[in-house]
Amino acid sequence: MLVDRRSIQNFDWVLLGLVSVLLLLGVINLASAAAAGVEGGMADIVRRQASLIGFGAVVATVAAFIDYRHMERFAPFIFGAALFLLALTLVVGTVTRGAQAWLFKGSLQPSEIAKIALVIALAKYFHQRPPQTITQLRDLLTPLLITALPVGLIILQRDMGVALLTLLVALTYLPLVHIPLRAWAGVAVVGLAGLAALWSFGLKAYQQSRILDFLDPSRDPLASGYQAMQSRIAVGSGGLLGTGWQEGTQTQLRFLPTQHTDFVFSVLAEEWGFLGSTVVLLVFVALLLWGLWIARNSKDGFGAMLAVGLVGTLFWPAAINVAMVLGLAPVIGVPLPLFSYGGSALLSASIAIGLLFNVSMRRYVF
Amino acid sequence: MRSQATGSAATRVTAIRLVLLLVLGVLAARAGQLSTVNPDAVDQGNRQIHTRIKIPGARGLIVDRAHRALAISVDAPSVYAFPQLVKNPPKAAQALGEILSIDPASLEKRIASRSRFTYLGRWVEPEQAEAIRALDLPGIGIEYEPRRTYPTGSMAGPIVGFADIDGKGVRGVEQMMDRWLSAEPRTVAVERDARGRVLSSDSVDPRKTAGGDIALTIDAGLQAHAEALLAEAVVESQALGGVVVCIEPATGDILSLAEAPGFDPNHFRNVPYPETRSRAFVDAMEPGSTFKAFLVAAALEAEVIQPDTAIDTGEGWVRVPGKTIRDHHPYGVIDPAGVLRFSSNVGAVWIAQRLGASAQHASLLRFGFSRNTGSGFPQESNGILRDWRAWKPVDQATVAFGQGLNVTPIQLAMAVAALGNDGVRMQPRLVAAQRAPRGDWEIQPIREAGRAIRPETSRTLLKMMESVVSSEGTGRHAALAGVRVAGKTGTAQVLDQKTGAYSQNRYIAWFAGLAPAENPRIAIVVALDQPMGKHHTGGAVAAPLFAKVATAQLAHQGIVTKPEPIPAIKVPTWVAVQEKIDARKQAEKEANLARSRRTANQPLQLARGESAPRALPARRRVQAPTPARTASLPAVAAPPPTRRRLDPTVNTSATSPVQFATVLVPDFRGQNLKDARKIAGQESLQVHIHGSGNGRVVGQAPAAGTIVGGDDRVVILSFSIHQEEG
Repeated sequence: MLVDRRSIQNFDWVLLGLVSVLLLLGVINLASAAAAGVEGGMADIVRRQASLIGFGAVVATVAAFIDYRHMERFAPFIFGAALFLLALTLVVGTVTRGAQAWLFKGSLQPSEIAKIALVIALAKYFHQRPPQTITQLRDLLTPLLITALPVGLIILQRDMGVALLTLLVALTYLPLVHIPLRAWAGVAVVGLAGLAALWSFGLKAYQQSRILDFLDPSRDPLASGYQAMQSRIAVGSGGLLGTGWQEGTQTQLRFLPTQHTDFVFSVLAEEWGFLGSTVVLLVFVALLLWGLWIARNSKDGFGAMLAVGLVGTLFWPAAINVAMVLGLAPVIGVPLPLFSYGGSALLSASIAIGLLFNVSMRRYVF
Repeated sequence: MRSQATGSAATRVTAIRLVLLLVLGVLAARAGQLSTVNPDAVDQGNRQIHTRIKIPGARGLIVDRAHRALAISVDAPSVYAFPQLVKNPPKAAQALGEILSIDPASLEKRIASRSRFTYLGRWVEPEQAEAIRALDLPGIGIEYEPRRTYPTGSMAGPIVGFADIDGKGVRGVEQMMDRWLSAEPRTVAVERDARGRVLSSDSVDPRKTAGGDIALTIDAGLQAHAEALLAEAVVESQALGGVVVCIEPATGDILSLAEAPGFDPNHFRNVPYPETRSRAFVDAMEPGSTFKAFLVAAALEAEVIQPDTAIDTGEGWVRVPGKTIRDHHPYGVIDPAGVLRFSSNVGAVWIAQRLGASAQHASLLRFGFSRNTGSGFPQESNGILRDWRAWKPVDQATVAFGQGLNVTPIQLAMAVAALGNDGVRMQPRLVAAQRAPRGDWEIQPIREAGRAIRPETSRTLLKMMESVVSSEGTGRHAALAGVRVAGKTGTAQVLDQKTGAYSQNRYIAWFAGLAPAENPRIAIVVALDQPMGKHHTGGAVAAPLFAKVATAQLAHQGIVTKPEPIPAIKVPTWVAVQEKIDARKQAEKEANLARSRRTANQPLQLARGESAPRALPARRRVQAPTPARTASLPAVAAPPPTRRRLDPTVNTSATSPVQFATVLVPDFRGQNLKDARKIAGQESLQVHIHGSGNGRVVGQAPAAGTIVGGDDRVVILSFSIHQEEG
């Protein structure tokens, strides 16, 4: 497992730069969100986030330096271990906000790790069976099965947001396959039927209510629509240039719900305005595009597939979170990667970034 | 492998790239839309942050003349809710209900209301507020609002009055000066956070929104002292209540105004509203013989009498159309001072007739009767004095000695004070100074209400009134050691509301006086409502209270009497016995009643020592007039013997061997004859038995507690024999 000298030479400074900018902006923004007296105040939460980032850096370094080609070999074990953790959560997990999704007294959320494990497993599958060779729906059965295992377990945990995200991560691969459009029409029909069934039997009342609130925010301005409404007020109050750091009343008077985690982007939008949101979105775009660049320049199929999946693990939560903050998606508890406060999300993001480094560094290594 | 993977995947990665850019592009566009084309958001945000809550302004202070606090406003915690922000109303109501001891259901109803702001509990205890704060419930908060408290409790309660929970004065000075004291309710702009907690409020200068302050003329120390003395007197005399008004004659300042029963304005909700009135201002009652002073004043002023005018009170009665006016004793020819000293009704009628109804009435108006004093005190009574044109002769006569009209204690006090202010009547002054918010104290003007009599007249009258407090006067118990006192007693019968007739056993005992007589510094009116103890007359119960109150009030002004008021001189005089006439009348009436049941025609007469110049039975209807006494003044000289008949039914007991100068007549009621004789023997009293002497004593004359001496040591007892026979 020695690190090739060329890998060091090919260290991906662009990736490091983009990630650092995001983390830095995130901490600055978090400091303001936490200044309003959330969980022990600004100093405390910034210190904790900083140490999480430090820990994440270590994790990323480890993930970067273990040659990803070994991971292809160990993919089944990694995937199996993730599934075991998910199953374990169902037995001994801690229930938080309606979801039994946490291990070790709420310090670890296996579903976050499971996303990475799923990406590794799918990357291995699509390496052996390149997507362009997939031309029929039934060819998707195996990857669907692979995806269904963790997603099913996460659904059993009643963590619908993460289940949806995990599913979306798997869907990242879909544009790569060669399946005719009319086949997708069939999928759409089946999908809608599935959604209807899910609505009737799979969703709890509060989840239904969240979706209804999303569709009609004025339905109940005091309950779950409250969060979306406050978020929209915050974004609107920010205007073009924002109210200024620690000057946002929505944030500082804590009208924003979970402003240091799920609604951290609202804080950004209020205090830094459209300008700040755009900058952060652009950095995200750059990061994701760079991830795809890594995929394209990967020296082998597994690396490419891995990078695509990893981009998915970063893209989907970010898109859903921002859409939720902006009132384009129902309020599901999805944090903004690299931006929100929180350990598990940062851990999975760290692994994803580390693996991207891994693929990127070895693009010229044979 | 690589070329295959990259080559084909390249176009596909581009597809992913497009999806990615599209999604993030939409998000950026949405962010732009919300940030710029969303004008309501800022307003909406401000609306939920900024709100206005209404807080009643802090009422101004009420302090005494030495600026000791009588009414203050303190900040008391109140619990409020922003109903929209309460997350779990049933749970919140449950928790709050436990702390506040309020039914959670009613709290929940209020929390569930549509209003933006609602109080859940006003003026809660600090510990409760602390407990609620500790709960940290969203949408529930604690706000401090001013609460009225009265640090001196019941002291001067009816005068200070009280303000209700919304800070509106509804009694006493609180009501009288409500506009001055009250502050506009403060509408405070507050910023609140998502949990409804008020973050900041406009830094409002407290003095800017507080009401004005008031300093009363009352002196808290003297007030407390007067109240204590009054309470003691009320208990001792078994009265229903009482009033003591102390006025500074020169200014009209009300220095103290004690009222019993009082109440504690801190707990006004526990007291029926009528019971919180100021009796001194609101209650109008008959002034009784105190009114003779004003009659004499009017007559002197009109010069229809002179200080040495001889007034023939004849046999002690005079007939006016419709009524025979009687004195307790015949006083013969007396001077105007004698009319006051002995409280001669006949003499008063004599003067009134010389004066004439019109002049009599006009003078009373100048003394301020029939109109309220202009103090502005809420619900102040005007009293009742009919216009002289509506008077019948009997009305003129009764008004002369204070019957058939009503005055308030404050009216009487101001009229008496006028006698001590060279005849100038002042408006009562209750508010000594006012201070506007952020202002300085401004002394309130002293106001004259008009001249009642000339200075010379007032001086002459005061001299006469001094004789009332002399050892022979009815008001001798009001005398002070080393300080001259001028005064007048009064014992007014209470008009029975049911029968419309004067009660025979319920009286208002008055004393109105001034001291020092040569230069009055204090005018005091004492009224005791229906004393039921051993004594009930103004001279017996009101005058001693006057002396005690005056001692303290004068001491405060540097006029020191000897520690105690001069003890009453117990000399057997006409006047001494006269003090108890009202009770005697009552007892005799009972005796008459008993007799009339037994034998309708037997007249009741008393056996007397030959030299005993004794009163005649009051109920005697027909009496041959005797020649008027011509003896010169003073009237202490023995009146002529009156004709008397011996009643054959009256037995005379043996007198006891030891004779004291005077004795107090014991209460014989309930005793049998044997015991009654024994008791009488101990007190060297002769017993006259009215009736058979069987059964128990049901009536006695004179009444228990009467001081008798000399040849007057006789007590008539009537027994309940007829009941036992029946």
